[in-house]
Amino acid sequence: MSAHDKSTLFHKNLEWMRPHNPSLAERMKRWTGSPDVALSLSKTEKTVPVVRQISLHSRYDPEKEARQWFQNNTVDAASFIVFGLGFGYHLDVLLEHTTSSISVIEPSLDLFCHWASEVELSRYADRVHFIVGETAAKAVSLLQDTRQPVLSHPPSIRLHEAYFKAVEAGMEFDRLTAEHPLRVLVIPPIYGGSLPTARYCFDALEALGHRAYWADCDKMAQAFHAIKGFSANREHSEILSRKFLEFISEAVVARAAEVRPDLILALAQAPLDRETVKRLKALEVPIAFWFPEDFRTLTYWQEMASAYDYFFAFQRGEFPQRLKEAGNVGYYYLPQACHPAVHKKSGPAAGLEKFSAELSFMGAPYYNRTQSFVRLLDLPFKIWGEGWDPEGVYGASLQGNGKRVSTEEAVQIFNASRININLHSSTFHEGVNPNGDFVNPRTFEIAACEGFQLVDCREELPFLFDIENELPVYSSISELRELILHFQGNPEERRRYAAAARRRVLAEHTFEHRMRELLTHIFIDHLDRFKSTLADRETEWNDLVLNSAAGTSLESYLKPFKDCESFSLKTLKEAIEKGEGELSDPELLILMVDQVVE
Amino acid sequence: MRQAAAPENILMLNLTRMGDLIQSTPLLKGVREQYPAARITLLVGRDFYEFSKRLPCVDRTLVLDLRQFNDGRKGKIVNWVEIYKYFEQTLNPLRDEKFDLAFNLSHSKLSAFILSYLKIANIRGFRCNSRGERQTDHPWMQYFFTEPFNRDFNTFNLVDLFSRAGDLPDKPRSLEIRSAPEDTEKLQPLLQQYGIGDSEFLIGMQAGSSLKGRRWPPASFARLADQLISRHNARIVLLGVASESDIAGEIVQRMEFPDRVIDLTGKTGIDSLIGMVGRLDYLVTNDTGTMHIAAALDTPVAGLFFAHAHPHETGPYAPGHLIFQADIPCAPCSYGIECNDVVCVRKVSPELVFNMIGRHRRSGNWSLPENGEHLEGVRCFVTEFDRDHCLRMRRLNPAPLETRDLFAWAYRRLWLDTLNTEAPATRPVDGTVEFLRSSYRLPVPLETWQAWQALRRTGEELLALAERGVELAGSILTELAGPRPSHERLSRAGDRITALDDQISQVGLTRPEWKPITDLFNKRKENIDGTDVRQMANETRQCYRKMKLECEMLSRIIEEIRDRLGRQAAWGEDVSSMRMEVPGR
Repeated sequence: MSAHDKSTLFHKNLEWMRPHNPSLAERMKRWTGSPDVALSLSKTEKTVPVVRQISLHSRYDPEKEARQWFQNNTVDAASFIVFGLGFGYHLDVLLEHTTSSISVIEPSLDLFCHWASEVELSRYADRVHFIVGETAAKAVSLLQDTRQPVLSHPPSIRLHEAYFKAVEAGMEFDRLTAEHPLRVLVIPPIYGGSLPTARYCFDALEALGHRAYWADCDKMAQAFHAIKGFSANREHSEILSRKFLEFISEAVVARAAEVRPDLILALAQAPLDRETVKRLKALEVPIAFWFPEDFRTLTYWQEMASAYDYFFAFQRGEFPQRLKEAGNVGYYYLPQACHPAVHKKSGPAAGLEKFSAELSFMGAPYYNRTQSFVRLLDLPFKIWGEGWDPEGVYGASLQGNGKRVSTEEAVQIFNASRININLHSSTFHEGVNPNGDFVNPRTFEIAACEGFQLVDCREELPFLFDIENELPVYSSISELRELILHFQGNPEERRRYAAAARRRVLAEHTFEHRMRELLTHIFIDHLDRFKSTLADRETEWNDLVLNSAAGTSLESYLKPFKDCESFSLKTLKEAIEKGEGELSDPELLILMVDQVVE
Repeated sequence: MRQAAAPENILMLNLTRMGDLIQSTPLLKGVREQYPAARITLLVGRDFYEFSKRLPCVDRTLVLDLRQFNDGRKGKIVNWVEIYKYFEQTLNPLRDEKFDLAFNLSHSKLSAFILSYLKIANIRGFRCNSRGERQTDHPWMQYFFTEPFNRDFNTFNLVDLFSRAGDLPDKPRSLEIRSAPEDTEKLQPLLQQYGIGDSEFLIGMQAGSSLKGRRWPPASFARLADQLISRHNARIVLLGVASESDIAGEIVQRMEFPDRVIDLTGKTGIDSLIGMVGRLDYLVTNDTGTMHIAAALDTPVAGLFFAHAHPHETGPYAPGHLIFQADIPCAPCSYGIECNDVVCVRKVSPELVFNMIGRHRRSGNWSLPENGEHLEGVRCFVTEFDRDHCLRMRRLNPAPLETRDLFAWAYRRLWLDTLNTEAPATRPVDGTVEFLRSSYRLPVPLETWQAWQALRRTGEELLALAERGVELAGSILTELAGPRPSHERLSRAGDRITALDDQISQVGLTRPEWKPITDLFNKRKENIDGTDVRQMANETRQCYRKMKLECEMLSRIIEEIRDRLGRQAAWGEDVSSMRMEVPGR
């Protein structure tokens, strides 16, 4: 093929890929080639990639080699996973001789792009799911089912041995946790923007079948605020606040000791100081921190960075390096998400009249917003949120007396507005931040509600959405105005965008997706330890319960509780209270026991 | 009778204390009379197994020994698994016996769980529903459940509640403890040891009680004992379990004539205790099991009821016993209260008790000392049976009839006339009026009737709510009878019923005089369970109808009492019944 033909085919493939996998498409778009992959021709005139002197296929007849490979790897399954793409000869044989659907995991984007310059990807559309250039954790989290049989492409394994081992570990972890849930202690902030995120993480962990435990830091909010106002002397007030934070830290340690978690997950602004994290480390479990905040605005991460084993953040670019300099080597990229149980499409009788709007914005009056939205004041524009000056220019647009908007109300607003404006905050830009990187929660939340939104362009956005078909973006307030005027007259187009965006977030950007990836990433490193914990629990279980309860109706009743932290009566009683239907014999007996113990 | 076939295998679950066991004896006897051929099994706790052998009409006694798990049960899983296994091993064979009738005479959740586990179809008393909540079908048991929350308005003794819950025929009943030759055999050595002759004036004192706050002070017992010794040459016998020896020691230590005291605390078994109580001339006691033994053996009791103890509920079940209770607004206090200044125990003076025992010894009747009608801070009751063969407490020192008491006695009439009766109807209030005249000071204070005027309007409000409930439940039934019942309409009606029930509860909470009715209404509604909407709507309608009837009848009863007592009293024209609208007239 000529270079021109290759380029044409590559771009055709890129466009085909965008709606299927925006992240991969965006990476393809940014691909600049690499000297690592050399292409040669086999004796049968087929392209054979060579990487670090490892030829990924036979230099004689790669197709014949692939057929032999297939014979040696006979599979009979509705779906399976292939480790290593190479130049796809083995994939073609599989497609030809089976009807199975296939997930291909290939760590090298470079190799994939070379391949995508020579083959038409659309021919794989129905049956192949490409997982390319992803982290091992992401690759595992993208698999529908980690119990599918795996077929390995040996040269690819040789080339990326560590990577595929990590993927295997991640898959094993995934399978293990399907049977043995993890115990995760979630430490939320006392208040603030990351508190809902913490709640969503908690819910998602539970929804994934794990046992999530909550440290009640948020219940301390009122006292925390009251203490701030306790003394007019600023110095005194600060000392008191610090003492109170120390106290909460102590409470968190107590909670952790009681829960005996497999993982501690702290959210941004969780009330933990370095000393507390150090004490939590005595539990010998990984301690992770998710920081879904702008590292440039909130800078306290610098002091805390080295304390945590894992540091999840929704920014890339220079941040990993900065974090490394601050002493943390556990960086991992984890964008925000939606929580479909909360962020959902309203039914027809949801009583949305109160929130209905042609054009709306919900959020706080950051500098760039106050500067920009004046341009929209001639439009039927409504603003919801706290902090806007009711006497100022936005007074007439301000809704609900400028009161704080609850999550439930926000969902109604997203549902009831024909056009939702989403402008990422900035304290110093006049309009759109041209260098904005992370994507805010609202982007995912509006999408999950099937609300239509216009969002300012962000570096990460095209990796997360097919912006051409799912999220119309603007890079200036003038563009925003034009888009508003355009979409006001095109309800059908709005509906199409909104529906497509919703499909995307539900398929890829929920908290369940994020938590699955986060856990996989952490436990790829800690798989052996987790297995040993499970073995310990098994022993404890056998000693304390099964031997003692053997032969009674309790024995089978307790089986589902095997992974509870202590098989305490309280746990059982709570489960009975949550249950439905007639009380069974064991349940009645447990309730009797509870009365005696009580 | 509520069920067609006579039961053959009956379980009596009584995991309570000695007093409660004795209080269940009229029910045991009544059940035996009703079902002479049935086998009656009694299930009791270990502590009272020995005593339970003295209960009449029991064919077999089984023990649930939970005492064995008392030690070191905190923390270790293995312990609760052991308890579980014990329950399973003990209850499974019982379940296999297929009892066809069971009585549960306790509010406790444990007993409700046990009975549900035993899967007995016909249960009098509490079992639990599918959600683990306690439930009972019998109207008197439903009343028993709500009564602790409305103690001011309850005048029934537990024995009568149990008898009525057993559907026993209306006739006089008495406690019974089976005598045994051992009673005398074990008593004689004691009498000899302490040189107690046949003619000795012997006073028993039970100064302990299960709860510390319910005890008359040792100093009061000591003072009373000294007076009885010095004026009547009495011998004092201190009774109680070993753990009460300290109290006995304190009494003795405070006395002027300790040599006339026989301290038997911790020294009596069941036999000698029964023998000794039967030998006593009087028993002065807090609310204890010993008091019920005395009542069963016809030993006159001077009962001291303090703190939570409620003489109407747990007073000695026999006529002719004397009861003291503090006459202060907080007496009796609610269960679970831990008072930090138990003033009630100081309201009853040793002199008063001494005086009344002396008068009784002379005349055979309980009477107040001279000028005792105006005793302050203390209620003196004597037990007697009413025309319905239910025990009641007649006040010896009459007090003004306050609204609370007016309602309490009107409720007594109401419940007897309505609960578990096929055709509820108000019977004449003659007995009630006669009792009130003897127990309260006339004329009735004007404030009581004024308060009634306002409360009657609350009753009318409640009645209107009940009527609204009947309509709403009816609308559900109409909707269900139609060709295409609308879910939306049904759900709207359901919401309206929920809102209405909240209003009903609120009336009870804000006007405690009506709360016994609203609580009973709620209790009945809690029993409505299942998935058959038609049946549930029918039952709901029935609940409203019952409440409506109870509101009407209570008002009518109070009006009649007012008319009857009013004719005796000089009270204003403005509250004459001629100018009042009385529901049902």
